[in-house]
Amino acid sequence: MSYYGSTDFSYNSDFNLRIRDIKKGNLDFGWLDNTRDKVEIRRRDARRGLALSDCEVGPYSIENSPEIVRDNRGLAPRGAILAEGSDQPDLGPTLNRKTDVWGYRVQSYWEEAMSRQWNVTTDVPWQDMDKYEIPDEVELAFCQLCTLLSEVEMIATDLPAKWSHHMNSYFQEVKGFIATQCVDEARHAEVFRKRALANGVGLLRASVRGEHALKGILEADSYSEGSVFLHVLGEGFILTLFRSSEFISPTPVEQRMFQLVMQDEARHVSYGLQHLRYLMDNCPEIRPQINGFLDEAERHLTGLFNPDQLESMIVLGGKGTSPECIKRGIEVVGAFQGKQIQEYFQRADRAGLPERRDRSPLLELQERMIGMIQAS
Amino acid sequence: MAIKFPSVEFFQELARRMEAKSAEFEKLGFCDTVMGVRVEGDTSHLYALTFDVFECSNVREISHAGDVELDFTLAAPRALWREMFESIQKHGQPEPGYTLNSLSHVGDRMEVVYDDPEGHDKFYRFMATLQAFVDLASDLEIEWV
Amino acid sequence: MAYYARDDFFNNQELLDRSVEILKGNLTLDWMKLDIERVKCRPNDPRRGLTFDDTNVGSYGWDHIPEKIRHNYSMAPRGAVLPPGLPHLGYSINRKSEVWAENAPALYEESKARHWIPSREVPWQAVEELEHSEELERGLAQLYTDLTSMATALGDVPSKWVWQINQELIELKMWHCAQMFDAAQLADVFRKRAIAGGTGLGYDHAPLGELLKCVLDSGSHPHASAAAHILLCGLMQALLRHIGAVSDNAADQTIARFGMQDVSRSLSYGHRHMAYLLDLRPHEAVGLAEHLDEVENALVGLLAAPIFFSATALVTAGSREEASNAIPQVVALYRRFADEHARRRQAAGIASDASPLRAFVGELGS
Repeated sequence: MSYYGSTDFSYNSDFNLRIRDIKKGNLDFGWLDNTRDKVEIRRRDARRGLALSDCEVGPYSIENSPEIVRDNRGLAPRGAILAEGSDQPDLGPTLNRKTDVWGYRVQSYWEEAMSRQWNVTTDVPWQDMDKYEIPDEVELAFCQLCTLLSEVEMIATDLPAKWSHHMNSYFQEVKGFIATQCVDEARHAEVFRKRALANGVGLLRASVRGEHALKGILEADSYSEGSVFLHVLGEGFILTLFRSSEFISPTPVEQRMFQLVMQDEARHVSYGLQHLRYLMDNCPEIRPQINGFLDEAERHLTGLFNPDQLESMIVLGGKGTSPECIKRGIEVVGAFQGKQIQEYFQRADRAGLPERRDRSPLLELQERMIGMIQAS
Repeated sequence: MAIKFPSVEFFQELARRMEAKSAEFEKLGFCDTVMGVRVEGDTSHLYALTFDVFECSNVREISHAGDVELDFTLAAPRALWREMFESIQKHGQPEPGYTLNSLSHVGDRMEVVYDDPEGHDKFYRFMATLQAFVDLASDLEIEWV
Repeated sequence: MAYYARDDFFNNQELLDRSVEILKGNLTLDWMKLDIERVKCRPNDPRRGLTFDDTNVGSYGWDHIPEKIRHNYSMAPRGAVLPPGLPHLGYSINRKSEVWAENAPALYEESKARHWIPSREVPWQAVEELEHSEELERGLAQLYTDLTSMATALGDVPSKWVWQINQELIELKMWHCAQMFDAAQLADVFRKRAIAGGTGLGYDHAPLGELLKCVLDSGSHPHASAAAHILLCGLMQALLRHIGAVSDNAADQTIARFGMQDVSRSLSYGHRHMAYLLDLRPHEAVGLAEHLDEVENALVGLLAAPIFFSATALVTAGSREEASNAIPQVVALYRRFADEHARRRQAAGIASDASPLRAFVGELGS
């Protein structure tokens, strides 16, 4: 036990008096007399139901919440009437600035996430797997890819979970959104795990270098640093990987999987981008810190591109291991790797970090590799 | 009766079918985006499709991308659109190389045009809905013009 | 940046050379030759789809997770081939009994299958057309305000622990993610309901904060689990049942019904988690029971708190004037909750003769 309540009610005379009062029928309705202005809430669009944006009025609106939340140290929802002064126990939230966590449009991301949930167990047409014959080498390659994806997806539950309980309860929309992210990513780890085990192979080899990148994400010093690494950089790259994986999927079953995971991933990328934008707009002094962090994060990220993953993507892209297949697979993989980097820079531009394009070591690495291939 | 492609009526018919299959689309979730469809040829056409909650609520032909705030535009030659729809009609769903994602990803046979990366990401955020939308043409009688 | 990998991948010439060789077409494909256990898991019951139960096979299944996990501190999925050099991800919960419950994988599946959407599946029109008095609405809004904070705590508990749990316990981690999701959904619907009724959110009051702090500051995962999943979820279930039973409109009944479902899953986990833990480590029962007694002490502070008690009485009676007459019904509600809670404690193996809740209810009913 880390906390003992301030009162032991077994031996408290005030408490005994209160029980006596209750038994006598004396109820205290002082709270009922202290009324507040009423609000009128209506659904703006019945198809959407009652959206968070419909409830953004008066004291309940984030717009009316200060940049630094000082008065709420407990778990009160934004807009509740707070107990005065020291009466409210301190539950120790550490993320109390809006800029620590907030992102433009986070409320609509929450509603979108609620509405676009899906179920691995029933929404992937597992029953169709027997309709298709997949060559063993292609199945092995797909399982190697599933092993990597199953490995990396849970970082996107662990990182948000690590910070969520530190967030002030006034930022309920962000806490809610990243809870949806946790379950989205659990679902992704689930779908890749189940698929690897479903068709006669199993899980293959984990990635040492990839794990170092994951450790870099998990051990970020702040939520914002973790978010920019995870949401913008990491999930942005994985989103492009999902797009490629849909393209090189052996059958419509895997294609369906990637269509569904792609949607979730894009939502997380959008939140990360909007958090970074909000941060850059409202806390520009943090720019050098974020840039310094990204300099290292981008180095970490290349750990995700390990030889096992590269080879398995090539086999999938070419649909086999013959020289012709390998040649075709290399063309496919080369095309998407360039896209990953370009899309990342576009997002960084949009978030207000255009300097990443000049500062990032990613382009230099790409050029070095192209040079090495051409030289040989 | 055959419906011409490309035409506003073609996409309006898909929108009507979307509404008729509302339960299926409600399960896929909200879809809020304005998608451009550019059909390139001797005479090019650009359509703006507004997706609102569970419906495609508006289909217009526009002269320039700037006329409407499009989140992203899928641009491809008329022949490629035809190949895609014929693949959908043949199998009830596209063959692996003919999904919207595949066509727009490797080889860039279909181009995704956008100004804002957030608008671009909407293409992926609502991918299952948009794919299901074009799949509604699976049993549509089409007159290719 | 807190973590710098030993290897700077950008300047790892061996890795670059290997990547270049691959892109030139010289693949080793050594990962294809790994000696792995081959499995083919398909749905046992096509109506249910491919469940986790279907994949609980061989070295991939949870039955083979050792009580003390010594072999893997990375994020490598259970059953994968572990190459040398995998880093330690800092997990501090590496003992299966600390977190495991045999029903956790099934609860995760159930949570997904029973997903609902607060914004659309609650008949909000009923709230727009409420016909009851303003004071009754204020009473309901107060209880929904309390429930919002409780739901927030219910999400913060798994959030605090899940990232510290070893990746081998993957289904359990997924279940905790589902709990976070369920809790966020409940916080959303309770807060919306309070605001939408027109009188807005009520008070955040100290006795509730004390209880939630006791729950959140529990010193270990099992202690937090007992406090959150057995006690707090039990309280929420009782409260929701009560609101559902006395409500006069379809919206509150729907919220109560869906809310009950969600918290009842966590109750089930809490019970089975305790059972699994105490089966292996029975000596933990004394400490857990003492902890729960301490959290119950904070709980009785809430149950007798003027705002909480009078709001419950008001909602039960339907008006302030009649609220005093509803005290016996509130006491009966507390007694039923206390009885159920005592039975849960008994079944979980953490019963107590010194239960503050039992003493409180006894005193209240005497």
